[in-house]
Amino acid sequence: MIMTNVLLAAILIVPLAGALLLFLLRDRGVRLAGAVAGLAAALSLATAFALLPVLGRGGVPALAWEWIPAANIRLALRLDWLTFPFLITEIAVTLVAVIYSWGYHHVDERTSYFYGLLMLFGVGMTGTTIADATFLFYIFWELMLVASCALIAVWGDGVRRGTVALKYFIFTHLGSLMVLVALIMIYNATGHDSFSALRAGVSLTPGLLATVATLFIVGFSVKMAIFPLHLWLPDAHTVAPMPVTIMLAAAMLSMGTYGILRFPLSMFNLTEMAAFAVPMMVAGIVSEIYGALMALAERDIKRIIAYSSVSQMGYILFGLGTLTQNGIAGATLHVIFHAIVKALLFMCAGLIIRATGRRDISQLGGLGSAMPLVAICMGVGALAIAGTPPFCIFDSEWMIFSGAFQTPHTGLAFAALFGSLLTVAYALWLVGRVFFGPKPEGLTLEPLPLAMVVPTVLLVVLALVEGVLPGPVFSWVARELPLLLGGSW
Amino acid sequence: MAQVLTIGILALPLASAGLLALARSIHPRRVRAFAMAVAGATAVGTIALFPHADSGAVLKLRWLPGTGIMELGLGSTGLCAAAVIAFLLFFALLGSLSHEPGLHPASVSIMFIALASTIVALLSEHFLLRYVALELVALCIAFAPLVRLNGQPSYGYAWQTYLLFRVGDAGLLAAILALWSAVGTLLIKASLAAAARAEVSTLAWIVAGLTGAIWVKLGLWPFHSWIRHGRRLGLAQEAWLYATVMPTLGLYLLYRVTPLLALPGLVQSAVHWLGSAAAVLAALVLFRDEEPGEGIPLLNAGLGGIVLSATVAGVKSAAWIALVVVAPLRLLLFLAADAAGSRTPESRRVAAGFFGLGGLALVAFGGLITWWAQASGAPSYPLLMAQTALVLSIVWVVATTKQLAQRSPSVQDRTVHWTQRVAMIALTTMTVGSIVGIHPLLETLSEIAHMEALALPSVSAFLRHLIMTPALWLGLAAAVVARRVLRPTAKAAAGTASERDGEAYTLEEGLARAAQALRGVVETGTLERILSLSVQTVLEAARLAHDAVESSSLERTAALSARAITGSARIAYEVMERGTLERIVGMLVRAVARGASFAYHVIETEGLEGLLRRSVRGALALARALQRAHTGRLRYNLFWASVSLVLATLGFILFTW
Repeated sequence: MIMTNVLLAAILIVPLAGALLLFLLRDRGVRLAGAVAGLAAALSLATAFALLPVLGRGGVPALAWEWIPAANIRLALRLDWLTFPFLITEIAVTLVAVIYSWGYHHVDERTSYFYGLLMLFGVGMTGTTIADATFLFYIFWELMLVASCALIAVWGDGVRRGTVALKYFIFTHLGSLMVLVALIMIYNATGHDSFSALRAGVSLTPGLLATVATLFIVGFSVKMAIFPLHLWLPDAHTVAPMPVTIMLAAAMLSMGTYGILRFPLSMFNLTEMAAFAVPMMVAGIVSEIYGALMALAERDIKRIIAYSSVSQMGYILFGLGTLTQNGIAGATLHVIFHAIVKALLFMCAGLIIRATGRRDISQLGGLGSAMPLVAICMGVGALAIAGTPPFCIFDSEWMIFSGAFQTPHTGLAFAALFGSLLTVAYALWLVGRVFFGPKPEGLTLEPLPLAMVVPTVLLVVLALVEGVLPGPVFSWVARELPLLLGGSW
Repeated sequence: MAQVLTIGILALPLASAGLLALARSIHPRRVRAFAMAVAGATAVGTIALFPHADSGAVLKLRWLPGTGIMELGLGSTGLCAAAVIAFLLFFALLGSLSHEPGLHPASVSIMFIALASTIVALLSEHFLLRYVALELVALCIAFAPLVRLNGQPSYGYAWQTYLLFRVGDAGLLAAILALWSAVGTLLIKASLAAAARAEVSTLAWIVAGLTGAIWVKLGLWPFHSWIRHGRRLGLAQEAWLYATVMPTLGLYLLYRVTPLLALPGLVQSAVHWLGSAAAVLAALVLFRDEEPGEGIPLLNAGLGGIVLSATVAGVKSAAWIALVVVAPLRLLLFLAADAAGSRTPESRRVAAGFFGLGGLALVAFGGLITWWAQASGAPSYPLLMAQTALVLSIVWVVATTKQLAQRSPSVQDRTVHWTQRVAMIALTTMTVGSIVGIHPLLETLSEIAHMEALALPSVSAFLRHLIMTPALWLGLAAAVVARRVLRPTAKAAAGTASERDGEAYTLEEGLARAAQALRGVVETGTLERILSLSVQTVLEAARLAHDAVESSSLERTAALSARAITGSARIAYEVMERGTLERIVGMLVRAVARGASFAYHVIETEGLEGLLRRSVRGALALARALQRAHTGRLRYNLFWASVSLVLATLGFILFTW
């Protein structure tokens, strides 16, 4: 039991300690900073996986300390099956981003701070996920925002990075405030900040229930970048340094999904949530189609992939809105698989930008023969994001759409399914524009660091392996379902 | 044994594909020989599995949790279709030797992956497995140009082709998921058997999705453009990978889901009409194709439309019979059209003969299907459309055969390799055999499919059926007039007139001659005019259809649509992402900032005090007014006292109530 608690705490403490160490080392540790961060992230991931057998045996690792007794506020951590898939995704993405940074980030006197902030960003996401108290949840939620904002403001591309960081902060903070209001309302209703009360179900008046659920869904939708709350995303993704973009797109967006699962879908039962099904499905479809159309209209390679995230988050919200087992399981799977594929696509984009120094696809072309490995990786990424079997996203889309067809809203299911054709269009069009056709004048290629190529190839393998052998991840996700909607399936 | 053989027919092409992908330096001629050996062995393997047909599932696989066990069975129809596909690959490779002596290893790899995936799609008894296999086939077909061709256009073809396939597959996936939701299983047989208990509206969605999938796979208008991209590849790839694999899979899908198509009334009749209309469109577009090879996919697509229409009309085994009968004919047409590019006139004429025979056999089979459709009570107007399509196809086949036989030699002509002749002879033998032995063939096919054998018409009844078809009359007459009659008739008319001038007649002879002349001038002339008008109408329709479909209008429409979508996206992008919305947000921010500034000014600088001052002033003014009222005359005081009491009472009552 003690060992379990130690491991649970270590998931947070190890990267936090890594971050503190890097901040203390400052310019003295620039050479080791990447290794320290990588080690911390790897240890954190290993620790999380070490708790998997405990979960498998039916155990629920949890620990809690009193913090502000007068207000009944605690420091509490807990790992359950709803948490686990998100936790693994976040830490794995952090690790991949750190490894990618080894090749991407030029070492200078501020390198320790860069890796330290990456660690803090990761800690923010991890802490948000395993927090078992609303107060702690919100603290980590804001830590995630502050760390990522600092990374964009300091290491972002171009002169607009400060403006973009501010925009990102204001937009997402507005969403956070809505979440905060809802959390305070819940706190007032239950009298304490423990999630155990939420898991047991909260009894609210219909008006209050509608208000709280709306605030949660809209607030978390800002983090998910659902249309029209997505305006922060393209700029943030484009300006952020590539490792941060990878973490933003592949991991941080999923925090919105986690929030919706953790709060409205855990607190309320199926009947209480039924009124939100169609709005969520419609918002998901609109976001799916709108994001894909914007990706078709865009010319900047990073922004194309950024808009793809808007579209993909639409799938997830649509899946959650079905309120069916398959739909919700599919949405959770989509978080994991989207993380893999989106990280892959951004890594490929990073490789292209690194090699050519260009981001506008009208200035790119014919790279297939010069960069065949990157072409294959990006081709796989494009096919995967397009939902082509046997790559992993097909599995999650299958679950989401099958959930949709289990609802009475067959027309919406058809719309979402046919809307996915736009994903095929922009994903394959992007690959065609970059890797085929004539090579533009004056396009020269720089050599690529191995540290950037290796994780990219590994993600290609992972996208295929997860697609062909989805059993373990499916079983993790399936076990979260009894925790949702009061188990009223 | 069956399991080993099944694994063998799947593993052999897949392993060969892997081998060829790795061994890039192998000589192209050896690649061809190796490919033919593998295709032949796979075909023989499928034949060897026939004794185990209908013996149940041989391979079982679990993939996505909750979707059940995915079974690969040895259904007799699937096995037969797999054998047809494998044999046709062998013949395609054999017959394309003169066209392309060597093959690119990567091209053959793709063909082998497509072969294995096609076999899986045909043998699978699970909808999910079938869908995945179909997707893999689609990927192979779409991305074949990337290996063969270089540059942006090749990717453009791949992109377009894959996108079109995905349109169909979206329909298929929607239908599968809706069916799964309705019946709770993905096993094909079980779900089709249970489909009748689904709601009619759900069934309508399912049928719509399936029809879309079949439509794209058969290459029916306007989704036929993907087949045409095969023209840019080698003969074997065009004839087999493009023109045979996916249409065969489309026909097989149609055959398997036939029980569903008969269920919903309105959708059924819509599909019936659409199938016939697609056939007519395909036949009209045929006339504008300059090269015979370009028309073959359209000829097949037209037949596909007729088969779809007939299947929906109740000819349940039409798709299955078409799958087996048409596939070799299609390959024969491709090989013969290619062989017509021979150096020697004899070879050209022989090839043209093969082409004509194959084409007419294909159309005759279409005629047989319309006969069955009529016998099963198909509505007359769609049937008439289907027959019109057939007649137009006959005209095209005859004209193309003549064109192939009479074409003048060019420098690009080549010697036809003997293997191509062997392939054509073998395929022609099959064709003739199936015509001569149509009765036992139909019985065998019906037995394989466990269906009731369709009654064959007697030759005289079939001919009567053809002769009584109005569309046949019109079309044939149009063709004859177009090709032969008009000019000789004019000459003959001129000759008759000169003879008439120089001769003396008796009254009876004169009346008879006058009657003949009148008949010639009025009747025949009128008929000629009608016929020529018909021909013109047909040709104009073909031209219009071509303009609309092939050359410009559709492309323009597609380009306009694409531009409109992209334009809308750009506008939305500009509005939402760059311009207006940000400006609106900016204005709002400015408004808030101004409000905040005003509030700051009022509250922080002078405002709070100012507000207090004003409030105090207001309160003082009110107090002074009240004071004046209270300290005035007695009646005012009494008035205020009574009002105050009334108000207090009312307040109390209201409070307690």
